[in-house]
Order: sequence, then structure tokens, then C-alpha cells
Amino acid sequence: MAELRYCLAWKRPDGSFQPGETFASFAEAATALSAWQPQSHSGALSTQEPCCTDQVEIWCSCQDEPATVLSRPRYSFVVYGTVAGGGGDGSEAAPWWGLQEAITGLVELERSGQLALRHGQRLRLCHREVFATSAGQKRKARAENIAKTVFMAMALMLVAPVLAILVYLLVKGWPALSLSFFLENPRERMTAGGIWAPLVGTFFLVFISLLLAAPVGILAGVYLNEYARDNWLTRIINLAVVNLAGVPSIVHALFGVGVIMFFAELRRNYGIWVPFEDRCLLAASCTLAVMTLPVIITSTREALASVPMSFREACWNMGATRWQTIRTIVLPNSISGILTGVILQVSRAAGETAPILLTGAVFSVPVPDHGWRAFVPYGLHDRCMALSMHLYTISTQVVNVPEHVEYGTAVVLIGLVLAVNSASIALRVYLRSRKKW
Amino acid sequence: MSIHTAIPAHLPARTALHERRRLTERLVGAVLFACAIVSLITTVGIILVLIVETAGFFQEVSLRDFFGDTQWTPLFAKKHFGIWALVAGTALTSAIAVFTAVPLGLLAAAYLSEFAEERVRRVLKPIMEILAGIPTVVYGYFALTFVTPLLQKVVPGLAGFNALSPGLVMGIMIFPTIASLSEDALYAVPTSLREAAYALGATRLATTFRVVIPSAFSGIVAAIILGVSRAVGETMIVTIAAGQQPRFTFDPRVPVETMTAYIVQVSLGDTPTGTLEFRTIFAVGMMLFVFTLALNMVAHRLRQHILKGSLW
Repeated sequence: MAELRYCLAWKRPDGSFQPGETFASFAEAATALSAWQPQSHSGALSTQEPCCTDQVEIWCSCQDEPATVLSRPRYSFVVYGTVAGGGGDGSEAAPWWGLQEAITGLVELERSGQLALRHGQRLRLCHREVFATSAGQKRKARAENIAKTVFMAMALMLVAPVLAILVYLLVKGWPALSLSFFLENPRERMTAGGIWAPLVGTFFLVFISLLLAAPVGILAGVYLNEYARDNWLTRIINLAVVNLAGVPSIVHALFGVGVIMFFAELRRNYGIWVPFEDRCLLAASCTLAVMTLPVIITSTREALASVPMSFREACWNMGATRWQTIRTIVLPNSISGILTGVILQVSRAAGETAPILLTGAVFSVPVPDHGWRAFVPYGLHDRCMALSMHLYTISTQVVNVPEHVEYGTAVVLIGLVLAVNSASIALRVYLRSRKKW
Repeated sequence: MSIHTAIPAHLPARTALHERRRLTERLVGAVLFACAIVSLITTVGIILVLIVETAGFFQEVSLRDFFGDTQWTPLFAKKHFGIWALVAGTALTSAIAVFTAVPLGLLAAAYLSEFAEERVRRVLKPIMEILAGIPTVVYGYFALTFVTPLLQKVVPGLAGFNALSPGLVMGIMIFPTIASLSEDALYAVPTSLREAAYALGATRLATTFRVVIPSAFSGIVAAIILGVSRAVGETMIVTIAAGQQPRFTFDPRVPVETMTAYIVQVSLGDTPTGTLEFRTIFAVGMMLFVFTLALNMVAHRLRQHILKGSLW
């Protein structure tokens, strides 16, 4: 057997081969490879006849397009040890990230006998460009990252300013907060004392308005979602609900004022019994109820609509009537959504100022400090104080109110509202996690 | 009736139980309907109250005085009824609020809908919902006692009551609303549109701005309109921090009075009911009602389009 000789062959861009020098040892041949420039010798793999059969050929080819301006070239050399010069179905021995590394690696492999080249075999060293990020792509990615960060900052802005406001108020109002602040009535033209009277007023207002709005709202939601046919009346009711929800609260307040005036006139001219005829706790509660009603209806409808139709159908098939189905299947399964909607309205009613300001809340009402009257200071037809109104009063209408009293009132109001809101959201999360469908 | 006769004879006849159930059904249906009709009655009531009182107002004040004047002094000896003074106040504060909230809201919505992980959404959305409940009277107080003094250090000639500070705070207040509603609109854009853009080699950013936002445009417009409507109807912030001097100006540094603030001012004063001065608040309320109603209707229509998916 003749001694192995190693022949280099360059592949030209047109696909043909340019036979190179012949070397006696693999190491020499490999060293000579360093002259190879993939850009100038490239092309598709051809099935050209081998030039000599008694030689191991080392082919060099470039599989990819020449490097473009945009992409940074990267070398990956792959060795195919092909039998009988057949072409490129060899095993990928190793990729190297550079010509020199490839040469050293090849020599190393040959020396350790792993290459085991025989006569007539070809070793193809090919150059590939792998995906590399170009400058343009990098620029885009950078823009993307910057945008994402900016956007995230914006999303944080959703909560950050409000949280900052909260912290600021809390820090400022902290010195005022004590048990006596909650339990004492405002004294000395509101410059001292606590917030008991307005706190009780807010509680009364919210409680009565909810007592009125919640049943009506929930039942109306049930009607609209479960009973109503799609006719003109239903459409008008829907329209009314949407409008009512979008009307500013001050317009609700004007409605309250209008109704008070109307009732007063009825009473004066015709002697008809009316629920109220002047600004009072009941009138203010009714106004709040009107304000919260559409939202309760909407949230109830959404909660009912989320109960799968199949639940109802199954129940009807058992012979249940419509109302039985609603009572035993639909309502229990949607109670979480309904409750959430109602509770969210509690906090809204507690925080609103404009409607009660026009219909029943006043700057100041004398409230006894002791006895049972301290707990029920307002009758339905009395004017009352309220926390939100109280904050408005002491911040704009009364002079010389110590700062910590103002901030303390603001903190209590916010705390009340946020506590109710959080409770509602937490309840929803909890009940949703237990949902069976 | 024909159904009754079609029941075969071997089936049991209607029992007393059946009758009772039928009665309950009808009774319940009637009660529920009565509850549903309450909202309709209320709406009609609001419109009636406003119309009756406004009509009373316009019997004494001509439309020309109302729409053709820029001074608003119904509580003074020399009365002017130029609504534009109040409208300017409302427009100014609302514009500041909207210009603050819209860019922020849109970017936040784009982030939540297109970039954020599900986890971030799950945390941020409830927090937003909780914070949305902060009473506006607190915002107003904050604007007056913190934002205005702060701005006075930066903006020369800023009065103690001005349009800028409540406008900015109102922007913070409606920002979550705009962000949340826009996010709904962006989220409703079909994924296939995004995938098509990605397949063409568009980056996420390009997809968001060239494909998703244009597709959700009507929803975003609806969100902005609702934001405007909230700003226009907002009462306590402007009442507390913007002052009570109606003037036809677009200078954000001087005190102005909005329509809502005027209503509060009159109802806090000792103006007797039934007088012309008292009726002005209904005329102003009517303007407010018509304006917000129009905005809400447009927004509602736009949103209905999205929900029904008729745009695609």
C-alpha cells in the first residue's frame, strides 16, 4: 500500500474544484489550510469526481453565502469524514469557532487516531456562518429593551404616585391617629377633638344607601340577565343603566336636590306623605343609592353571565322552574362576583362628597359625647356630618385647623375606603380560587 | 292553549303544586321587573328635573345671554350668565388632566398587554382597582396642600388656586381608568395579527405601535373619551384646588371655576331654592349632563364594537 498522501482542494465559487498542493503528512497539509479564505472560495457541495483515488483529500468549502455587511462572520468548521469521497453525509466531528482553532483541532484529532483517514477518503472542512446578531438587530433589541423599561416605568406609575400620596398622608397624619381621635367629637370649631360624629354619619349614609341599592340592584341584574327578552324595553333599560353609570356624581346630586324640591312641593300643596322634604340623611342616602345602583346592576349581570349556561340547562331538565334555578344554582354560583361589586360600591359611597354635600351633609351638627345618642346621633330626617364632607370642611371652610387633624382625617377616610376595597378584591380572589368550573 | 289539549290523558293533570309554582314565577318576574325599571325611572327623573329647572331658568335668561357672554356672575348685583367662563374652566382643567393621563395610560396599557408577564398583570390589576377607590376629596386636599406649593417653586406666578395643580392631580386620578380600558382594547386584538407581524420580521415594539395600537384604535379612543368624561364630571378636586373665580381664560396659573365647582359653591351658600340664582346650577348641570352623556354614548358605541368584534 502506498503511503498516504494528503491533497488540498479548494472549492471555487462556481462550484468547481481547484486542486491544490499535495503533502506528505496531515499536519503539513493542515498548516497549509491557513491560507484558506472562505470568502473567496465558496460554493455548494459538488459531487465532482475525486481527483486522485490514492490520496486523502482535504476539501475546504464554504456552505453559506458570503458574509453580508450586516452580519458579523463567525466561523464554524465541521469535519465530515466521508467514505469513498461520496459527499457530505459525514459525521460532524467538532465545530470550531475559527480557522486556527480548526487546524489545531484537526491535527490533534489526527494524532490521537480519531480521524483514521484512509485512501480515497475526503475530509471536508466547511465554513458556516451561524446566526449572529447584526448591528441593526442589536439596535432594535436595544430599542426594544429601552421601550420595555420605559413602559414598565409607566405601569409602575399606575400605582406609584397614588402610593406616594398615601405614604405622604400617612406620615403627616400619623401623629393625630389615636383612639381618642376616633372616639371624640370635633371641638372648638373643629380645631380640636376627633372625628366621631362624621365617622358615624358616613357609616349611616353608606349603610342606608346600601340597604336601598343592593337588593334593587341585584334583583334588577337578575332580571336583565335571566328574564329579560331582547325587546325595546330591555334595550332602553340597558341604555338607562349605562347612562346612569356614566353620569357625574354631581348630576346625581342635582337629581337629589330636584326630588327634594318636588317632594317639598307635594307636601306643601297637596299634603301627600313624602319620605323627605328637606336635605337630610335619608335624602343623601337615596342619592348615594341612585349613584351606586347602576354599577351594582352591571357587576351583578357580569357575575350572572359568567355562570355557564349548562348549569341552568341541567337544572331545568330536572324540572326546576326559572326562579328555582336562579335561587339554587345561579345565585350561589355567582355570589362572589355580586358581593365584590356591592362591596366596591360601599367604598365609593363612603368616599363621595358632592352628592351628599347637596342633599343632606352639613359642616357641623352638634352631637352628644355620651349616652346612647352618641351612637345614634342622627335621625333619618336630620342633617348629618360625613367623613368626606368633614375633610372638605376643615381643609377649605374652616381656618386654623391644625395640620395633623386634617391629615389624620384624610388618612382615616382613605384607610376606610382602601380597607373595604381590599377586602372586596381579596374576597373575589379567594372565591375565584374555589370556583368549580 | 293547544299545548294543554295535546297532553295525553295518562299524564297527571296540573296539580295545585304546579299552580303555586306558576304563581310564584309570575310574582318573582314582576318583582324583578319592577327593580329593573327603577334605573329607567331614575334616568327619566334626572332628565325631567334638569329639563324643568333649566326651562325655568331660560324663561328669565335668554339663550343669547347664556351662550353669548364670557362672564359668569349670577351671584353678584350685576348679573352675567355667560356659561363660557365655566366651560373654559372645565375645559382647561380637563385638558391638563387628559394630556397628563393619555400618554402615560397608553404606554402603561401597551406594557401590560404586550410586554408584561402574566404575573405582573395579575398583581397590578387588582392594585389599580383598589387604588381607584381613593376618594376624590382626598386628591383635592392633596393638590391644594402639596402639589400647589410644590409647583409654586417651579412655575413663576402660580396662584394659590390655579388650574394646573388640580389638572395634574386629576390626570393621576384618571390615568388608571384610561390605562385599564386601553389595555382591554389592546388585549382584544387577535393574536393572529401579532403573529403575522412577527412573521414579517417585525420586532415586538414595531408590532405594538404599527399593528396592535392601530387595530385597537377605536377602543383606545373610547378609553380616552371616558377619561375626558370623568375629568369633566369630577367635582371635589377642582372645587378644592382650582378656586371659585369663573373667568374665560386658558392660563393655567390663575384661579378658575369649573361647572362642577360652581354647583358646589351655590349649594353650599345660602341661596334659597326656587330663585333664579339657584336655578343656574340646574342649567349648568344640564350642560354637564348633555356633555358627559354625549361622550359616554360615543365611548359606549365604540366599546360595543370591540366587544362584538365587528371591527374584524
